[in-house]
Amino acid sequence: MKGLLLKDWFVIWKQCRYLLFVPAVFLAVSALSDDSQFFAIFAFLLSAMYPMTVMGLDEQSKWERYALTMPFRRRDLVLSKYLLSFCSLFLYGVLYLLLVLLFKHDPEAMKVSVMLTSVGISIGILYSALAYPFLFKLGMEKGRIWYLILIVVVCGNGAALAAMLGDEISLNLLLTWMDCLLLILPLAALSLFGLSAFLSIKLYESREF
Amino acid sequence: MYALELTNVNKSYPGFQLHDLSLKLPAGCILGLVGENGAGKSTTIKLILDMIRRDSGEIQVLGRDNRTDFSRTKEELGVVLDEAYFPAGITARQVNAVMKNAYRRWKEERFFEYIRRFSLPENKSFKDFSRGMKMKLAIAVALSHQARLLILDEATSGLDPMVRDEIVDLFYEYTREEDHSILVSSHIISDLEKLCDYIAFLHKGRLLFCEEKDRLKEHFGLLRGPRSLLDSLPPAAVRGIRQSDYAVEALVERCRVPASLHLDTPTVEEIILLLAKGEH
Repeated sequence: MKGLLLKDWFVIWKQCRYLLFVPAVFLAVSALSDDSQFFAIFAFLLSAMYPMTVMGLDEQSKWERYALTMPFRRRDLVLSKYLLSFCSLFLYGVLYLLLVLLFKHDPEAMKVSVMLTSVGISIGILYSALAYPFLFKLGMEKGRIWYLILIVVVCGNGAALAAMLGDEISLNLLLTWMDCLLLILPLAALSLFGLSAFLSIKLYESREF
Repeated sequence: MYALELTNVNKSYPGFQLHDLSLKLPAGCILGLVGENGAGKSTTIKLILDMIRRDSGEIQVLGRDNRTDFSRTKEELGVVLDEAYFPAGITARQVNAVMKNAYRRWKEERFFEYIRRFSLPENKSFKDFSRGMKMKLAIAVALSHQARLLILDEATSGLDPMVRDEIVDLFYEYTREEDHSILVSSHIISDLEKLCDYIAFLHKGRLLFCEEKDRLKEHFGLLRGPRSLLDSLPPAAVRGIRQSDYAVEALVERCRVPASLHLDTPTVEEIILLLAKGEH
């Protein structure tokens, strides 16, 4: 798997280096200013996306077909992308906390940032966990379409539910359960990530090239 | 010991079926897989490499089933596909770094020897390579990890004759070691004629023969003459005919025609072309 991760690193550095800097800039903006939590969340979401950009480039160059002739198992090809996603989210998390530590000398701000990092990483992990099975089964082109359909359905239902409950009840519910959500979210994200990896391996093993 | 053994392998797609394919490649030999486009050559290679699932049959690669611990077997396989599928931005030097972490028996010095021999730039992006350079890089990788079996899928197609000749020589060199085997698929039969010990001919998903090249030439003869000469022969002896206004050229089985008849020795290309015509 080390060879696969090294290849991914070469691809990122050569072909989409700029993607590494965009989340870092957003994180810096969030760390430097107050009330810019959105930038941090957006940065984590972006960083979850670039392993998928690498997958798209792999598909373009038909690297997967070639990699399957090497002493890699199909599961190695799948797990390397999950590992890449996790590592990138984790490293951006560390970067964000370092930036906050550097720019804001306030323990309260640090506490909020730790919480924000946990939420951001969890959202990034959830995003990857939902996307990967589609991408590994159907490839980037078809997989993205089906994934977008899933997102539209989930968000549509969420919005419909919120509308049914009304803004005030929805907000109150969210605030009441916030502490619980903050604890559950990372655990749920990690569990789903593991389940997603298992499913992706199964789907990828049945795929023909 | 066989480097490769396929027994009654079947695979069907909508509109195409590979029927009951059985072939054997003895260790230390070179087997050429020939056939027209769509005959099933690439499907066969994909089946061997477990890129697609067989519907039935057995495939043994270097004595092991290709569905059991195949990543271990792949340590000893060198594969060159019809294109070199490296990421666009990667350099030869980076390919070495990746392969060093992919193959346990990767020989870095040998890889760079090939890079120098092929005059490939070490730090130029793969996307800026010519087709010949790309294929040479893929061949350098295939030859740099002590593979016992090379699988080449149309590895020389689209290359100019000089590069092709250079690469064919390299494969010759590779088979000097007695346990080194090659399975090579190509529709450039002249390359296979130079290189191969065995020829397997696939036609519309069926294996028409898998035979030693020299035995093939002994078995068939090429009869040239007027049509009347052909009419005097038993129909079962004639396996394919090429006809012009003035004469015919027929592929015949030597054992079924009178010994007194003058027969030329056909090239493998003539055997394949005439057999394919006969099948039509």
